[in-house]
Amino acid sequence: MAGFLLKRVLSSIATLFIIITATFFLMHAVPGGPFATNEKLSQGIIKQMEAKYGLDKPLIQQYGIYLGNLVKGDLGMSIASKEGKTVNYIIGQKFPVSARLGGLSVLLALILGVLMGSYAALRHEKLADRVIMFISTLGIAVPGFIMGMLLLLLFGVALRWLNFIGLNSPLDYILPTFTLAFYPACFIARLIRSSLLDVLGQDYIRTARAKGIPAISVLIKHAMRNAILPVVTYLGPLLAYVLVGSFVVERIFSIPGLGLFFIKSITSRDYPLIMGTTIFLAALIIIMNLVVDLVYVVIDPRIKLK
Amino acid sequence: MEKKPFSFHIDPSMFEPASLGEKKELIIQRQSLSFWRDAWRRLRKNPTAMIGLAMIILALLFAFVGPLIVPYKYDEQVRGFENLRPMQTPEARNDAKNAVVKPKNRSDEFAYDFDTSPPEDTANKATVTVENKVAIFPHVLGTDSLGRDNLVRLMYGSRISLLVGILASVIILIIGSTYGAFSGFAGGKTDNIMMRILELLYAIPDILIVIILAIVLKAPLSKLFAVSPALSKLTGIGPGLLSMFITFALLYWVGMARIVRGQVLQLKEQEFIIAAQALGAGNNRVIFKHLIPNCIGPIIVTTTFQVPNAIFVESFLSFIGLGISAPMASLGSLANDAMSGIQTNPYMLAQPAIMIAIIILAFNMLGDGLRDALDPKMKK
Repeated sequence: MAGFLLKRVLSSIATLFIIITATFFLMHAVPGGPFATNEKLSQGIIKQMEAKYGLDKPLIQQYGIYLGNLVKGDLGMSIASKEGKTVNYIIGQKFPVSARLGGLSVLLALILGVLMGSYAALRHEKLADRVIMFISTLGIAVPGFIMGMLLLLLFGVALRWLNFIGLNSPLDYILPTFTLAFYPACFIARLIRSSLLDVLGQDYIRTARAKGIPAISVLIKHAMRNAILPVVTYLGPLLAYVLVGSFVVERIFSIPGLGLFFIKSITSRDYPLIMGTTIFLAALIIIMNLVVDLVYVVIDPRIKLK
Repeated sequence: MEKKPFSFHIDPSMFEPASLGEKKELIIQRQSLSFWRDAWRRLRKNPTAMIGLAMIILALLFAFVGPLIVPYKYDEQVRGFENLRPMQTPEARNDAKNAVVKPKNRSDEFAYDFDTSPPEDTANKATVTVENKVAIFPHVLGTDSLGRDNLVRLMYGSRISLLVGILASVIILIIGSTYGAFSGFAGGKTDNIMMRILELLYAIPDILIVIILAIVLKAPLSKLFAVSPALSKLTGIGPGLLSMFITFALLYWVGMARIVRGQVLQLKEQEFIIAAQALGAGNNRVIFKHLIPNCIGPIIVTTTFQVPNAIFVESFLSFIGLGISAPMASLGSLANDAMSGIQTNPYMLAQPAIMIAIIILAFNMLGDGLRDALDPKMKK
């Protein structure tokens, strides 16, 4: 167990290191630099600005400084914001909005997916199963943000039932949350359905039924415990999907979260912010994958570690 | 031959030679099906896959033949034809606007008319031909804020998206299957190292790196294209598209490589490979002539599923403003442009969104069918 843990942690750190290095050198390979677009600045001011942000030093030295700051948890200064805010501050301000939306979406996806999947498995080959499978096939095939646009057009513009700009009332969460949750919910429904069909055919389920345990508690206590395992492995990709999906969903529904800010920082060429956000999100995804792997080993005692 | 009594010899007189026709009949009885014919037979029986295939063909026709029929160009801006609703003519729109404006204020009326009608002298010639065009071919899907025909822009957008999807999949196919085949074939330490590299790439959240790459590649590629216009003429693509292909080539072949490696590991122990090696075939020959053709089924299926994936990534990037640059359009950038006018012109968002949905759905449907037809083992 300890060996597996160590190996897994080390490989995660290696991945993170590669991402940091790749992001750093790629961003610094862009010709012109962040101050080149602003024509009003004189040569001297650009020199001063570069000195202020440490851009006049050799690249390797900058890389070393950046790594050193990262270890301390400092992601650097945002260049585009006029008050000289740190990237940490901006992420601290914007991320909670995205995190709340993302958390709600993950929750909704799990609930909806498990319900849909188990109902389809119980009604195997019947009408309900067919309908759920049709919906989930559609949901997997059509990308989430397209779904979001269509939902917005239907409920926001055509029917005018829901407001679709910003997150000012609890009702405003409905469309973006559903948009983010729909694809993973469909994916989970398919996972649960196929694994539940697998499990329900096994002997111990028949034994449980034969003992006279009602179908519903067989499902929840006996079958679900095994059927839910594939969903646990999907949690890592699910989080990654929700974080990245928030970029477009926040753009579609004008939500002032980290995703929308990230898109804006792309247009304003705020390199430290782009790098900081990328590294922050990548670290989040990698750590989550690590946690999921560890949890999986703990909850499934059948897995033998090498 | 004479019949010997009391022997177990078969009496030849009981038989007569088969006629040629009978011989032929015997052969025809069960025609041997080639792999492809068998796959096609199974695919044809699958209605979902055939609907998907038909939708793809229609989309291809729409994207590649459509612009030849519609008499507008994707960057043709016509003054006085801005923001038309589907099938609307500028006169009808102006009438509608005037109807609203008129009762408000009489003195405004004159100024309003003066503003919107195109200047007589300069635009007269242009409008005559334009009006001829409109008479023959109205703006079926309306026009955008610069007076460009939406239908033709949707066609060009679909063309770009399909092109990105298909070409990117081909790139993934080449890199992924070569890498996977070599890794699986080499085995041992080489395989181990190659797989570790793959795992590292796999763990990287791809979209984030794609975004970084798209930002980074845009500037130098634009410069490159500006320096040598021959390049864009030669390849027919702009810097936005090229950066997209590079990102695909760098990142998205991982899944393909894994699948091909798995197949190769299974295949390489089989007798026909040993036979080929015994006959003196070199490694390259064994890989490209024997191993890869034998995992063609999973390769084709994975490639088909890569197409919608690539289209999705392209439209995602274009939607957040990183993909293709104006005046060229892809479905994603069309949706991006339409976001600002969503209250007034919602149909402009609906058009590209529905188009993306149709194309991606079609490829997924075909992919599912192909998986069942080409690779029955993969079916759950």
